Amino acid sequence: MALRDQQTTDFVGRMMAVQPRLRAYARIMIYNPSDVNDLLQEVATIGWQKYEQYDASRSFDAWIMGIARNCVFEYMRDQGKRACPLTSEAIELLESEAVDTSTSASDIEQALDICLRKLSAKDHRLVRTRFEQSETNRGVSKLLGLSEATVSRTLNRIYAQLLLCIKQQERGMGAKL
Amino acid sequence: MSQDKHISAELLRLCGSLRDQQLTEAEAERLSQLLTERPEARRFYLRFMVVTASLESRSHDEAAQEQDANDESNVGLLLQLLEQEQKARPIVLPPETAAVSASRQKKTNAAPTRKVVTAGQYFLGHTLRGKRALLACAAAFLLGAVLIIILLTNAPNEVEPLAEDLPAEPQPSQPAPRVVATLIASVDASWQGTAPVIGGPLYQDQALALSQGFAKLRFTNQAEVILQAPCTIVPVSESTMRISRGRMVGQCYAESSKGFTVYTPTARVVDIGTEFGVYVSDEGTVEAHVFEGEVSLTPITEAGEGRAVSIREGGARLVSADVSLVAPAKAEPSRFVQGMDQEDRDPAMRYAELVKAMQPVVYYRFESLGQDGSVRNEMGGRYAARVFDQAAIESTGMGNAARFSGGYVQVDETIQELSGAEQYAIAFWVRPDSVQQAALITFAADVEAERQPSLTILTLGQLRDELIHAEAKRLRFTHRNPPNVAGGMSLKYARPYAAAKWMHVVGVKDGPRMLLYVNGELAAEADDATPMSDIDFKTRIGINVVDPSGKPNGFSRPFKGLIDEVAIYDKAISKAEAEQLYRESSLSGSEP
Repeated sequence: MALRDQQTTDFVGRMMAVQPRLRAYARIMIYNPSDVNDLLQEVATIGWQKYEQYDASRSFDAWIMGIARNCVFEYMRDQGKRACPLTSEAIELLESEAVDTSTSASDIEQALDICLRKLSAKDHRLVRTRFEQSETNRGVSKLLGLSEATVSRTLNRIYAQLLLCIKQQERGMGAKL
Repeated sequence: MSQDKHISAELLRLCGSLRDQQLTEAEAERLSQLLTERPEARRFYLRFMVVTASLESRSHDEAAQEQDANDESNVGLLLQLLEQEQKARPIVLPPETAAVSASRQKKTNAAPTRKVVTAGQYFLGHTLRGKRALLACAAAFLLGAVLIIILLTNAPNEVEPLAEDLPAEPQPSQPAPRVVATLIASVDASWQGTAPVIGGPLYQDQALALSQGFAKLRFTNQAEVILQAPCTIVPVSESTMRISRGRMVGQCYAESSKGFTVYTPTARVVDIGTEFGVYVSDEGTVEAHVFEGEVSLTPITEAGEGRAVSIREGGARLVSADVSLVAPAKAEPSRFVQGMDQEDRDPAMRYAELVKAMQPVVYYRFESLGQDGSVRNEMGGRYAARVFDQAAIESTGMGNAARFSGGYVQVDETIQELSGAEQYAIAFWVRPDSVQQAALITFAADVEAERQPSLTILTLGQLRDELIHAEAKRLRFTHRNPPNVAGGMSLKYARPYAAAKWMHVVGVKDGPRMLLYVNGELAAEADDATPMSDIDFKTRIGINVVDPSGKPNGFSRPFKGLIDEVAIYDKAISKAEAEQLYRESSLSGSEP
């Protein structure tokens, strides 16, 4: 395999493996979910351009996370409050902990797979509608014939259920699935 | 005390508003305050957003799958995206790439081929603000598709601008691994080893072991394959695969996919333009089922190939592990998942459909309770059950189930179809909270007594049974005619049951035979010539006997745990059916 092809394969493989972590980190920091996709692609582009500088003896995840952090900082500088409506103090605290928390993104994703299956059919439908058919509560309310407030409340209840379930999964508490 | 107990309604609401992009300035200020002052609030927020990120990424996977379903391949879509973008820093595609691009554009009557794309476009085809909606849909598989493009087109190895007349890349010393298929969708999938990515390439001779869920692949010749876990395969070429274990469905509707070949340990199955299923059991038995069109099956032994047989629509062939037998059979589409849509894959729905197709007399799914505490019989208006005391409905991964903690469910009316029946069967899922002495399902004589005689009873044995030590931690299936409080014929599962684990149980009375299946396997069997008694009885779930007042007493053996999908048949259930019932639920990993 040509050297650069090998590099491409390596890079893409590594990027795929670190995607959940990058996405989690970016979503923690960025208010608008569609900007997260833009930012992740920016990270991939810069990462690829600089890949030849990457020292393979060091952690790729840490290296690409450094790029991601720089991208986030730059994005926040450009976008100001639009990037994240929280105060700078809160953002600073969150950022320092987001890097660590994002390392468990893959584990949380796996637990979430299990926990989603434990939802009632009705709740599962709402989650699917919200995240797969409509990106807004308003869209969901139209599709399911519910008020926006009901969608929001129900979604929050489901989140609480999922977060608790994920915690239990992480503690190794088995259930039906 | 756990962090979860500190989750305040306010924090949840504020995080929800942020997720929904509905956060007001005042809310943002309050949320910032909580996050600044309280570390546990930050931890909650971080996990909340990680879950949000994961859920949102799933939406993009779905969008990518839908996009994937278009006539153009991933590569075609990506090329279109790349070519629609205009950016600085052009690079020149090599002639091969341009040719691919040109042929695709010709096919789609698009604009004339451009040989120039930008570095950014070449890799990701994206600017921060351009074509956001379309690119958001493509984002999930974009990264994987990049690799496909590069490998398929032998792309230039530089990101920096290249002159058109640069010498060609030196030929690689070793051939690059060949991409022969793409993972185009997966549902609840877990893989052994490195998990392939949706939209990502699958290489020649890359072993794939799907341990949970479903996955859909598209081979280069456009044949599509749905895998059902547990399943182990190897893509061998652009039009060939090998399956050593598990189930798959081949969908070969494209003209180019005709001739798609599946090798099993003992047979070769060649498509002749059709949809078919292949199953390789752990014992090595091979089954080929044709749902549409036709396939050719050739038995393979160490000595060579046997005579090819044609299997037409609705037909099947079973090949024994030693290839000594190649038997015709009817195709059984219900044993294979033929689509990735919700109705195709939802194990709870599939299980329910299977049960209903088997025509039980009663079937209680416990999905909901009536206002009067009634439990619907899915098979019709008769024999509705009622909840007593502390039985309730609880959500599980298979929809809802009945939660027992001292209460019970009862069918007051005698199930007449079972009265005097030579054959009957009871199937259900059970998940005991603990090792306990408890009754799961009972047909109890309808008499006013402190201890009603039972006609049939399925029980769990406690950890140490002082009276009958052999029953400790054992599941027992007892048939009694005449009805009695003891005696009769009992089958006991030789292995101890486990607390907090789901177990699929089927008790069968088939004429003179009694059989007990646990998790799809025959657990015990014995002879008993007596039919079901013809006296009136009540069917109870989660308890044995109750006082004349309906209250539990010292003989009740109330069950603590979950019971679900209780179906009672006025006929026997075969071993294959018991196995199928279990497997239908285990498709997404719901086995105990």
